[in-house]
Amino acid sequence: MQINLKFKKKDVRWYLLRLFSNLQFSIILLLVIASFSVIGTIIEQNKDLDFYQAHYSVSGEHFIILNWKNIELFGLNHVYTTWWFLTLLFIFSLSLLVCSLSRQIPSLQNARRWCFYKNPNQFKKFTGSQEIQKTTLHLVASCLQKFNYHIFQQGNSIYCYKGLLGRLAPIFVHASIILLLIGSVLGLVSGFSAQEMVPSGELFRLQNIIASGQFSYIPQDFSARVNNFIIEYNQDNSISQFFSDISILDTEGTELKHSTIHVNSPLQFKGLTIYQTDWDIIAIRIKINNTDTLQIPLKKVVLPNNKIWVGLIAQDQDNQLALVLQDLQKQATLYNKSGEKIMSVTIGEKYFIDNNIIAFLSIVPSTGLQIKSDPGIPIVYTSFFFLITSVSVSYISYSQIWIIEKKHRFYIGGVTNRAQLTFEEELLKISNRSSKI
Amino acid sequence: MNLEMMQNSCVNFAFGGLLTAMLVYWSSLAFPRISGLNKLAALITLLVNIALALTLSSRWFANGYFPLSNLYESLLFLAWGLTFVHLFIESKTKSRLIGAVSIPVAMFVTAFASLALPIEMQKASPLVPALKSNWLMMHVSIMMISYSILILGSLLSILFLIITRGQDINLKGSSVGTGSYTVKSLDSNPSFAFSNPSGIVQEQSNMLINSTRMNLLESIDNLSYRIIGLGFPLLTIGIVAGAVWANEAWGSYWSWDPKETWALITWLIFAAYLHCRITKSWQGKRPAILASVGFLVVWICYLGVNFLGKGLHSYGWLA
Repeated sequence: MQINLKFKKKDVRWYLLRLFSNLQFSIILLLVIASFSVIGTIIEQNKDLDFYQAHYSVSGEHFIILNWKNIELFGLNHVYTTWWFLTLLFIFSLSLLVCSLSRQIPSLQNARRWCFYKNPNQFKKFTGSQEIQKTTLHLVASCLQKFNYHIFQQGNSIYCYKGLLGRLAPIFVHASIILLLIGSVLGLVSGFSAQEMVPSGELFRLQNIIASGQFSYIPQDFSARVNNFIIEYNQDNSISQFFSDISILDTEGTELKHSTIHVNSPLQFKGLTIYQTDWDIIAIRIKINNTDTLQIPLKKVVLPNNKIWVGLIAQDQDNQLALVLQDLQKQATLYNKSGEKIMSVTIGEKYFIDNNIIAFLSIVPSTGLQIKSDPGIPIVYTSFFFLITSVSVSYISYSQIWIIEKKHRFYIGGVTNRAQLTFEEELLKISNRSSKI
Repeated sequence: MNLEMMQNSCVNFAFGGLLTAMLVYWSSLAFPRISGLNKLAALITLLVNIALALTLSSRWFANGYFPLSNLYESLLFLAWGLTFVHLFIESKTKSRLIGAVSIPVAMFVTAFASLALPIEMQKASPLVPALKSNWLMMHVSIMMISYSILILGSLLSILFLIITRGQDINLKGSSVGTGSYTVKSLDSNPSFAFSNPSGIVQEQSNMLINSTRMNLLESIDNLSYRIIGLGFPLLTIGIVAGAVWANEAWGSYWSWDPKETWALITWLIFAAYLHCRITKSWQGKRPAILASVGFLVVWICYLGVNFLGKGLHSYGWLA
């Protein structure tokens, strides 16, 4: 009974091995992954439950099957991290590995064995094979050499090939995809990413971790300070670039690194990368009648076409001013209690408003930073390099030509694995040239 | 202002030229006896290509950044890419079919860009911060060229399907690399080398060529395979360039953004297509069907995703 069970296990393993190395299985797998990937582009990903309840209600007319309960059940709100999608990717990499080991490498060993033909009948299977009456093997060989073939001769028989790289390259394509997947898994389990909203001038540490793996190490032996955050505007008031001036400090407060980052130019520090991702305005500093500096908090209001920041300057019940900012340029607008526009003010200037002198000192922005560590990057980039190279080399067609001489007739034929059309013309040219004595 | 007028007339010329070139290509197919038609069409296409290049480079010159920042520019670049790839492949293969299938697409793209898009969307606007990088040129231009090549290759597959409609077909041109297949000809007369009396055995001076050379269908099929085979590495390079750029700009080389995902889907479909070609059981029409699906997917990836207006790649579209 036990032996029987063992055999069955082995059978299953063999069955799986053969399945994974099956080309049709791989093609179907590619298509299945492609079609499941579509789901994640149709259903919004990683939203709150409320969102799905609102948009995919159970009683809705259109989405009877696609309701929020099913979305929850199958994890359609985070397709690319569900267990079934990851299983698919795992089977995919397994299939790649098994296919490379059990098919590609053995077929390569076959390719290294040169075989010579002896019989003209063997040439029947070739398309576009030819028969030349008057030539010499020597002439044909020199002609083949002109077309960059590697030639082997055995008596009256010639075997030659070219473009072996095109045969080798697919193995490297598979290997680099496996390497890519390994690199991304490494990044997933040992990397982390954090997001911090930091007001200009303040210190921050890695606190708001949004993603981390089981083996992630989050360094706490340093802090960083946002010295300044500015936005550069174009002439049409659209944003040209965001800049955050950042200092990395050790535990004693000495500066280890100082750099100004912007989008497309992150800061690198000991395996950490700090990106510019977001921004906000949190307050405005004002001074009324030369008293102490006041910091008026501002609240972001998102309107259909833009966003504004609103703050309230209230000295008493009757004397209230609303302050509205549109961007980080030096302009603000004041409104009175009944919502009427009073005036536009420039930051940095003093104004005489309702018997008070109000000085608008400065705006306090905050910068949104993403801090990321991904130890998988070197592996991933290496795999990118090999992938690009090998996939390009795979374009080369591997061609083989056989020639034999029998009874003063020369038979020439060959095969190629990709460029049949060009190869046929080449074969014709070779015969044409070698038949010109 | 002058520059704008020049650009406008260039684009108008491109549209008119493509319309003419299309008609000339089609008549060259319909009347293969009239010589020179093909050359005339190729010449018109070349002029269109130059006009589009002029438009784009003058925009590059005037705005100071690579002209691929909004839909209008990217459509014009696609039209330029299509004509460029078409001329390149035509010069390599001497096939008249390529022009006949690619010019209509280039024409529709140009027409869409200059007629359907509102004027505000045709104007150049300053680059958003995320696009300010040298990777813009690298990533976007390679992606666009690979789209053009893949569109052309899969168009040939669609043509193949149209011609073989209702027929059972058995093809040469697989990449198995072990011998090839003979054609199931319609009069069910399998032709073998040297022995077949009905096969046309050409005698050229002192050499014999057997009759099983590729026929039109097989050459369309193989041409489509080779063109897609050229577009696939470029698509890979484009996606990888995008991944490296994303790692600089967004903090992750892959974030399953809709555009990324559709580029991956395109990649997977064409990877499946290329693997189809090396298995005997998926011979014949199946690869061509896959390539036709790929044609659709390329368009979804290029335009469709942006109509959703979601994700990180929504640049240069209506707000």
